[in-house]
Amino acid sequence: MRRYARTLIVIVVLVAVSATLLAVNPISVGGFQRGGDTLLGLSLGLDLQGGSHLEYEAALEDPVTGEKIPPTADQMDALLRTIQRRVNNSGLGEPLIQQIGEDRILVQLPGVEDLERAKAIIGETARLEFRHRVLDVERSIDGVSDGAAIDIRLEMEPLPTAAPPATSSPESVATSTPESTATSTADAMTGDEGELAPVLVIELTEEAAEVFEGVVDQMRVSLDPPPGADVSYLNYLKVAVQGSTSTLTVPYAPVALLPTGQAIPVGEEPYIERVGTSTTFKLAVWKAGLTAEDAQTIFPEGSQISIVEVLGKLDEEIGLTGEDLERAYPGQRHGTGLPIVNVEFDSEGTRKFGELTTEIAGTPDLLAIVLDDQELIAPTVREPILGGTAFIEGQDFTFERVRDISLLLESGRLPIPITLIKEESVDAILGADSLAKSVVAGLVGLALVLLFMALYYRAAGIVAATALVIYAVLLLAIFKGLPVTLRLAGISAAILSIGMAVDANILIFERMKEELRAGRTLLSAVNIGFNRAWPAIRDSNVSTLITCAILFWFADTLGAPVVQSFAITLSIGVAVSLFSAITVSRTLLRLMASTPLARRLSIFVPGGRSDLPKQTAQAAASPGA
Amino acid sequence: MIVDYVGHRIWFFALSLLVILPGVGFLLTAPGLKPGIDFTGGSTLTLSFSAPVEQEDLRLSLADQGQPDSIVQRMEEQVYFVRTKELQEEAKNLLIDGLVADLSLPSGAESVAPVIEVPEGRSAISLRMTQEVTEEEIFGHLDRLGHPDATTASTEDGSYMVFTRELPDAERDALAADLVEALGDPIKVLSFDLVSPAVARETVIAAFWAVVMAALGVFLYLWWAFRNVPSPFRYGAAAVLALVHDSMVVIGIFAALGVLFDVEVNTMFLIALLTVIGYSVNDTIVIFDRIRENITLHPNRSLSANANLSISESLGRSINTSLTLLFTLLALLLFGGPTIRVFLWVLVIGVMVGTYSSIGIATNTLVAWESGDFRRLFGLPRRRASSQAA
Repeated sequence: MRRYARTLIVIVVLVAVSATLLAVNPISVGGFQRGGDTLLGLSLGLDLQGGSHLEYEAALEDPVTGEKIPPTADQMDALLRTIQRRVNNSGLGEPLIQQIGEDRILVQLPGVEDLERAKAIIGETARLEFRHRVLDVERSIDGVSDGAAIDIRLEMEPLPTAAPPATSSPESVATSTPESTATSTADAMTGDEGELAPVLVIELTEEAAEVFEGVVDQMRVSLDPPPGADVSYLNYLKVAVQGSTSTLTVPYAPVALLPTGQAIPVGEEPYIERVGTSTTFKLAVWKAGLTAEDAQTIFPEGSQISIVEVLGKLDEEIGLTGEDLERAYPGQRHGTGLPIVNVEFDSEGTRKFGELTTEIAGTPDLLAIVLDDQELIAPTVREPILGGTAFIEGQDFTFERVRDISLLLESGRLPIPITLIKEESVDAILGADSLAKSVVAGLVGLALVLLFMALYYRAAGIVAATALVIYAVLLLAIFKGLPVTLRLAGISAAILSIGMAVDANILIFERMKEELRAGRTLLSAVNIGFNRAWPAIRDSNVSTLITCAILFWFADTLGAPVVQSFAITLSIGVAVSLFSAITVSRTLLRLMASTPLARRLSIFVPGGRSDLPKQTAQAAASPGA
Repeated sequence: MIVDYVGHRIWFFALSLLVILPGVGFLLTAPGLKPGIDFTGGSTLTLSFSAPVEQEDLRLSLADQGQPDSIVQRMEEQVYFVRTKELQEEAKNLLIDGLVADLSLPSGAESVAPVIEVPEGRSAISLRMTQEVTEEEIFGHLDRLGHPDATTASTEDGSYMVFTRELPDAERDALAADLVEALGDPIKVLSFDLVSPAVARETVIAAFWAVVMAALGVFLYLWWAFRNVPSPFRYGAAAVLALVHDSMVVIGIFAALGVLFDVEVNTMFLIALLTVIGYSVNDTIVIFDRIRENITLHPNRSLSANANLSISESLGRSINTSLTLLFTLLALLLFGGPTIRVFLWVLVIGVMVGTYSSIGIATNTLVAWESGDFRRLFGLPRRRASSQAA
């Protein structure tokens, strides 16, 4: 008895741990989380568990007209494959992906955990761009610069009564509340109301006014950082006088610059406004701190004033995108430990990247990295990068986010953008009602098997029944723990492996029966029976494992997820079944053989006492044998 | 007394041919193995019902309408997402009509007494509906019925009020009846689309090649495992032959069912077939192991004698193992849900054939090979007997 104590303890501990793993639902210990709404907290596939039903529509638009362009069959095909790759690599479980109609995609995912992440992984276009960003680029404005304006002149206007003259500190401007009224452009030397304020009046043609309106609008928009970025790239107007070196640069409205580079508007009142619906604009230079005298000095009577636009940034797309990447994988930055995405370019990409960084290195120009029109980061470049590897940092990068971005980059951007048009929850493909019945029926079937084993093989059969229950518990616990997502293929493989486990036990018992009939003691019958059954058990299980390995490898390469799922589950089942036969059944049998029960050989043999050779039966019947 | 199984091997082979040949015949006749919607794609419908419907009833009704393998998923209490074979507009309408009749669904709308005050100069109709209806729908019908200026309001208890210009009672009631008919469709089709296959053809082809390579792997392993026995490669070959035989029987039977009874095969069939192959190989190896043991114990006996002995010794185990599996499968078939029936039947047939083939085909092939049956079959001269055939 003592010899087997150690093995027995190991078995008991394993069973206890497994049972606990299965019974506790959900489990959340440290970083280990399992379980949810499903039976025993097992991870189930879509055919066994309900989940999310997402419908996407192709959202390809003509950039000019905004009209929808129907996608081609090839595009839809590529779209399906990309989404399939993404979801399969994301650990979200195996999806059902089908094309509906001409331009829609149906994605069904098991379970509803992490739905937001799933939607992001499926729906993000993931277009990564590397741009050459030049700062503060001057541009002339059609119809305004180079003397094309009808007139640009300095005028004096009375200040709005409530406001003190603006000084150059933004704070005071913020506290003022001028009402801007469109006064006529006639002379404004009234003097009585208050101080006189210098204003540049810009008269333009109809066409030019439209263009200039657009420029002013862009200036307003530029106050905010581009999506995803911290830094603002302000557009300015640069006002110059011919023959003089003095210039005036004016943004849309007064701003204060934060240390991060973000510009904060500090007043509502813009510097430049259109006068009603006319083609005249007024640039209130007094708001920038210019007094009347200063203004008259800078802009003397009759001087030629010209205005050009200064763009905060101008991005040049050089055609270096995510398509030029060979690999993308998550990592950590040396030093700060912050999450980053490491990228490696392919040969063409390395060349382009080298050129780009060579151009930018040492200049104030930036390398802007944009993902789906969201800025990730735009650093300066110190030295040219010729090795073709780089890393990308982002403002709100978390470790999960860099993992997902790497996934998206590796699986490729979506060939066409898509939008989510429907989101529902849906129940199992095989039908929740059908499954509930099947689970019950399955248990009934198993009970029948155990009963049969006990009845036919008697005491040994009870050992087998115990071993099988232990086997089932261990198997399910492993499925839950790894975790293995169970689909119908997996269940089928599990059934087969249970069958093989039963078979192994039966092989042992049949041999035992032969040995007992030949007149051996129970203990030696057990040992010999096991030894002689072992080659068969070994060969069949090993060949099944080989089959699984080959199936798995081919299914992985050629793309048959159903077969893969089957192969994995079967290999786990076979491995546990080997353990169960070697350790559990054998130990339990040997245990029994060393108890007084061993004398009553008849209970180990299907035929009962009549099956045993006469002497043994007699010996068994009398004590002290 | 040992039965001479292998002596009568001709009968076993004959029986197998009897089952396989027709099967192959059916396979070659169109459509052979009838691919289901997993492989061909079809139509999807989102149906909103006017009353709660049990999934079981819907499934049965769909089967009656000629869609036995449709996939039914419940979305909400009264909304189902259904995948069927490809349907044209007319076929869809027929299907819906059939469902309505079968499921005895009530109208989805009824006219009730108004619960709020009717403003001056207006007439009011109050409708209670059991399905979601959009305002557009209501206005659309109102337009059609000649009341473009009507307004609607929804009340707290879920009913809709329709306010029209003042109408005489009879006209108002007629309008109410029209609206009830228009809005009260027992089944509203919320979406109707064509859908692509869920499983690409590539997957099936990939699965086929995976199995072929796996069979090769088994063959090689057996060649190695039986290296101490004369002619070891025959064992691998015989095992693979048994595997092919079992697959052909199953495929043949389902081809026949497909041609005769329109039974379709889906991914489930593929999975079950893989399982059957796994079981077949396993079973065959156990018997071969016995043969190897007996040959080692009795090297001077003929292969036929050893084979017969091995079969007798293993019969108990073979039958018991297959019985245990069959118990479980039968329990599932009898008490389990309807959706995995095809899957279970393949397994039941497969287990029985797998057990049969290990004895009837695999072992007999070994003996036949040994006895030179194949040579005789191909008219080749008998080899000098270095082996001992019975």
